[in-house]
Amino acid sequence: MSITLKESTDRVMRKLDDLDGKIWPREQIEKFLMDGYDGLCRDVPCLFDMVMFDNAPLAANHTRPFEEQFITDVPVLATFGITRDSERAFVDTGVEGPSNHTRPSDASYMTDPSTRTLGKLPENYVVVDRVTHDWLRLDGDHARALRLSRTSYETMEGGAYSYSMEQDGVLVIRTVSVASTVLPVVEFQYATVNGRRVYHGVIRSVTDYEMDTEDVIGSWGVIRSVPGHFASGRFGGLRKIVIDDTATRVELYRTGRSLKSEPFEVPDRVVRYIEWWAMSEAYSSPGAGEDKVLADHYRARYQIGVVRLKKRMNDAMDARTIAMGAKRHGHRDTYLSRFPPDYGYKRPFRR
Amino acid sequence: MSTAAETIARVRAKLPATSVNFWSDQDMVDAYNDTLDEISDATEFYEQSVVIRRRKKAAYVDLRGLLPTGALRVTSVWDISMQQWLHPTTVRELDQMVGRGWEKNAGLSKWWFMRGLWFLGTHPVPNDDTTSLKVYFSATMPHVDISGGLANGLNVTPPIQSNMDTLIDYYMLSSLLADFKESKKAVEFYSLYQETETEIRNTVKNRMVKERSYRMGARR
Repeated sequence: MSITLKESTDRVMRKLDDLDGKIWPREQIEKFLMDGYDGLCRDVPCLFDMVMFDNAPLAANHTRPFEEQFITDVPVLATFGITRDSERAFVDTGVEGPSNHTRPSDASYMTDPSTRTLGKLPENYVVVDRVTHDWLRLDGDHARALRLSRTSYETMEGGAYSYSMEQDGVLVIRTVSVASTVLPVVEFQYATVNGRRVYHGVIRSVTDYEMDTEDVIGSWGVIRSVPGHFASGRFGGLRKIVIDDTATRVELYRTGRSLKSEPFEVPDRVVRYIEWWAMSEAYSSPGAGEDKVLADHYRARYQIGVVRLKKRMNDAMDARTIAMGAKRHGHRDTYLSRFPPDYGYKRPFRR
Repeated sequence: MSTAAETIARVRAKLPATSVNFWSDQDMVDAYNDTLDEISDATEFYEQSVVIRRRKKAAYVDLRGLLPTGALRVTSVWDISMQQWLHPTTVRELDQMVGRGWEKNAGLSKWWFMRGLWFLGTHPVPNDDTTSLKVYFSATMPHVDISGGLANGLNVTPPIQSNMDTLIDYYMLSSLLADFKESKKAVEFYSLYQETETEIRNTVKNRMVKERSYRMGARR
């Protein structure tokens, strides 16, 4: 939870007795650790996260992904692919949109906005665990089942009851039907720096969704969690906040964030599993340090760690004493839990 | 049960004479701490608890920063204000049994569930910011410190059973010999460790079996 890539690399190099990196360069060990971290999070989905998709039109400021590297002074928003949902039939699959304004604050002025069918998932997601729209859990459907049952499922508007992740690319999720109700997202007043509104700054004051009853401390506000919202955590919401009532919520498991800028997000003990992976990779690399016995030994230890972690992810239910909705058993149940076989009047046997 | 210092001295005596200067004292302490971590990880015998506050209307609590870095797994949850244990459940069960919008149902929490490693969910969600929970979790044992001191110095005995001495020896020898590139010996000691670990794991798991008169939750 707090171990950095540097600390972990130092530890592995010490264990390999190669602190100077003469046999295994430091960059190589770092790469092994990053690969191991990524592999572990894919082997055992354990880092939970949520992404919210509202169905309001997007603010966009570029047209092609390659332009993003040239956007330096302003936040990278969505791409201009289509401006109305009806145009989707004329573009390639997976095009982002509709996008019809250039600043997030313009969304308030958009009347009668188009509906949005697709959401783009984060690139580091591993598996989608649950999807809701307006608090309703959506069923995951294969595209071929949808093609069979709902010919026009791509454009059909109405209440969302299902989702599909096929036919539009691996990062795209689509609700069925296309949600038609659009309500604005929570409006926040963001900080102003040099006369410009900063959209990714600290939230200063909020006048919606119970935040108006919260004390705002200081003129710049305090970063704090938002009632009823996930992922703000104890350190506040530095993001666009979307209300569940009209939005699609995707609950997913992801890989860890880049170790170049963040520490490991798994418990300290689990970092040790990743180090075993790195040591296994180091010992199996051809060269002066190659040692197949130790490579296999550490690979086996990594696998033991993976099995332990997998088990641990489901172990909460070991402590289960009752099932939701089931009959609860108490001390009273020990006496006459069922009628004795000779209870009641004698009745003649009849067919 | 030996103290950390005694164990380290015993293990050092078993290491090859040619390697005397290879490991520093810090290496030995690190190997000892690693062993404590490994035993805790394998058997989950070391348990702790922490009190956490929840945010109003929030279905999830992010446990990062609230649990110590050695935490392994949440094992049970106690509602301090209501003086009752919460029951474990799953999101699937909540979807099936409670239905749409269970994340919005506010009131006295009766159920808990985990999403991933860090997000503790409760149902129903709390109505205010003041309801605290006591979260029990298994964790790795506190490390010993070479700088000494009564609380965590090398002269303390870890709170484990005496038959774990051998276990610690095997693991430390395996770990240290692997550092010294004595591959075969390291793997042999690890095999011995694994055999003993199974014994200890069974001891931890079956510590209540003799006394148990009925299975919890079963019809009596």
